[in-house]
Amino acid sequence: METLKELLSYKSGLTGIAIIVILSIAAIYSYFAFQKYIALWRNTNYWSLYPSAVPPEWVSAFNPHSAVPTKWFKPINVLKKELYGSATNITYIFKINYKWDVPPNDVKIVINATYTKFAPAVIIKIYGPKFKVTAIQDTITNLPNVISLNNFDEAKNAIMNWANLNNINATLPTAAIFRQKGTYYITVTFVGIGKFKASSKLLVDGTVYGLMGTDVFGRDIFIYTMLGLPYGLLIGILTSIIAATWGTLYGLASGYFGGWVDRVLQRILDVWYSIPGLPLLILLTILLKPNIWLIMVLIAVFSWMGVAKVVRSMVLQLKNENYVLASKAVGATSRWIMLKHILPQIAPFMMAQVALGVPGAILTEVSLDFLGLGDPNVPTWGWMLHDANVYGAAVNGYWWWVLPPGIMTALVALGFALIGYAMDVILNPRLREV
Amino acid sequence: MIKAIVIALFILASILTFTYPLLSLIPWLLLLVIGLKYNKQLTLMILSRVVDSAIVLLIVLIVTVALFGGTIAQIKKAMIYESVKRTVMSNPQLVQKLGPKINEVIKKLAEQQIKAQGLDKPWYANLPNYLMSVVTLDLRSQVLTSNSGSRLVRDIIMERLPNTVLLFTTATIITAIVGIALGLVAARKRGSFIDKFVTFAALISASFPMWWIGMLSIEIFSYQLKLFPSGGMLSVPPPKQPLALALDFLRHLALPLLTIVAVSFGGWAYVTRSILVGATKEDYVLAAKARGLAERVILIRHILRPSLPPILTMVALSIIASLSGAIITEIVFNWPGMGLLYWQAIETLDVPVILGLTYMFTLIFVVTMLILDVLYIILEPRLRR
Repeated sequence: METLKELLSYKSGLTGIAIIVILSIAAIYSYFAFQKYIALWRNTNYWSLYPSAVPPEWVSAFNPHSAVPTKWFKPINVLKKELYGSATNITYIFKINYKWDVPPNDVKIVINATYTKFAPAVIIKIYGPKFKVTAIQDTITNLPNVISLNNFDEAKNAIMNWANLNNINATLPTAAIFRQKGTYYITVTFVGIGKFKASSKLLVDGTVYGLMGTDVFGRDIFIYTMLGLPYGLLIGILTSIIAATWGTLYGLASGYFGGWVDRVLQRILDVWYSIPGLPLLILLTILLKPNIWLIMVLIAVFSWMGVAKVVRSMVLQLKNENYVLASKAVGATSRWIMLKHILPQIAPFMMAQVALGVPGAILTEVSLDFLGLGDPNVPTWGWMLHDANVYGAAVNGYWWWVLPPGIMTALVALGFALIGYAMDVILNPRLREV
Repeated sequence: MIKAIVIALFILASILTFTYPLLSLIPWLLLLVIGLKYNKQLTLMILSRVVDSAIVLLIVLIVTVALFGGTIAQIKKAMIYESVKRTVMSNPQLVQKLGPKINEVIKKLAEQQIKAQGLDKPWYANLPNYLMSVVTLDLRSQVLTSNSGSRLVRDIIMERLPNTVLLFTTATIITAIVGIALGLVAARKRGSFIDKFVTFAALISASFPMWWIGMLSIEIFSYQLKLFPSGGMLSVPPPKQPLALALDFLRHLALPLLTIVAVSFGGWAYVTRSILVGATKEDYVLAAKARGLAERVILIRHILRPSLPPILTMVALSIIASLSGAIITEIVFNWPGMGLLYWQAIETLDVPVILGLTYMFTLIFVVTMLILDVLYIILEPRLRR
């Protein structure tokens, strides 16, 4: 408690704690708010609905006429008509107020129908300023669940034929339709015999998307940047705690028992120090294909040495303190002395070591994911950057894909580094007023 | 004078005997004998560090072989099968005589050889055999080839090694100069702008992944500003004139080099500064000031000199940190070094290349640490006595 108070009196400690507290709250919130997207992380089919690699919506501040936002539309009206007694006609009407100079990337119409005997037919018509075109006229069994005007051949051919007949020069259906600003109506009509249920919604794939844009798979970068937060914090803190705990026990044993135990343990420590972590981690992850928990342990295995060294040197001093000697004189066991007299003294140092260890742990994990060796089912910032590198985000100028995961990684690391530095200064008075 | 002659003779002897493994041991042994005679403690200390390094290498190798023993056995079997096939096929008379039974015969011959070499036994029985083949990089890659088309892991790695060493060594030297100089200035003028800048740079060093800064610098300097090429070591096709070639190379080198330096120098500067600030608070510095010594003399003799060993230790640690960063930075910049080779081997799951690279990185790492440790022992007067 004392340490925490003192920590808050330092500017760096206060900043660090503020960063970590804010990030933790955001992590808890985003874990529960975006939980369903964890399973969708590798589901490229789900995300293919959305535009691929488009910048965030707020870039429209710089070019308001060419940034078409991505937006779901619900029908403004549903007309239901009974025809000749047994047939039914259901029409969904979508209204799009188009006010941009450039066409959207795509328009996708989702259709669903449940029927008993006869498959209903689907007719999709587009009404623009002074024109009308029929895009689809087919039974629903011949149609996919999502009809893309630009990519589904039937719709594409129908619209391009109409464009050719009317001398409209365009390479893509959406470019042929959305040539000017104005109000567009798209109607989706289901005609069937007997009773059936139908539903429809429409998505305009714009040239910009949401808060942070999308990656090449159409994944929402905002959602996955936020989902990376709980995982990033968990990996960083847990790994560091594992490493610090093991390092403390090791240093404690080495320093307290001394003699040949100390010599052997120090020798092992020296050898361990000169083992390069990353290459061996690469080797182990290739062989074990570990999940996220095992990865934390593996990273900890290569990062406990510093703690062990610090703790040992502290224990060497503490074990000759008068109260320890007195305790020994009245017959206290080694376990008692270590637990009651020595551990409480080094506990604050251990906390500092945990904080200082987090940046290294999270950077290592991000690096492993970047190499494509991490747990593929966990949406982490490392995986985002891995995909960004594989799909040439830097060379193609997809800055919105590169920036968020890196900045978030750095923020977590920075927060803990600041706390660690401040604790270091508090616990080593020699460094004070520097 | 005698020292200089001994060192010169040693260097000459080791160069002369470089290519003969057994002969090259002689100058080292002589050095050991001389060392033991003149400064026993120091020599023993260095010797124990060398033994430590050898133990590290051996442990890493044994772990590697234990983990991938099965795979190595498979690779070796495939190598034997291939060589037997080549010998049989190169004898047309034999091919004609054997006719359709040729495959069976090749298989039998290969199995004989496999048994003769003991490859059908478990990995621990073949430990020395496997260790040697990893140490000498005498393995055949599964997918990757060298530029000259060779499949030998040794050829593939040796082609990339100079590129990595070039990039990393240059970057480390620049980082060291910039970092230590800035640390010095920051320590002398505490609270100044440079001091604050050093702290800021150190925080960046500690929190940003080096390769992410690399991706960002490609985005800015290559994509937006079009100042530097986005990756590789030379243009395709490379310019023919030597001068143009050199300029082209420098243009490609600039961005990865700047990235590594920009991310690493802060750590060096901050550590140098902390150690120097700690040293200025020592009693002997105060005593020197009281004696009225010149500031320059105090700085060099009482502050810098005793700070060298701890700075060296921290330098070793930051070199380690930036080495693993540099492995991945190469990937981002498409720099044809060992880091990029690692990535390619991981993507294609080329196990022999991965094994060879792990060994090479361990070797580079261990040797760097050893050199720094020996320097530490030599620079630390308390250990030299």
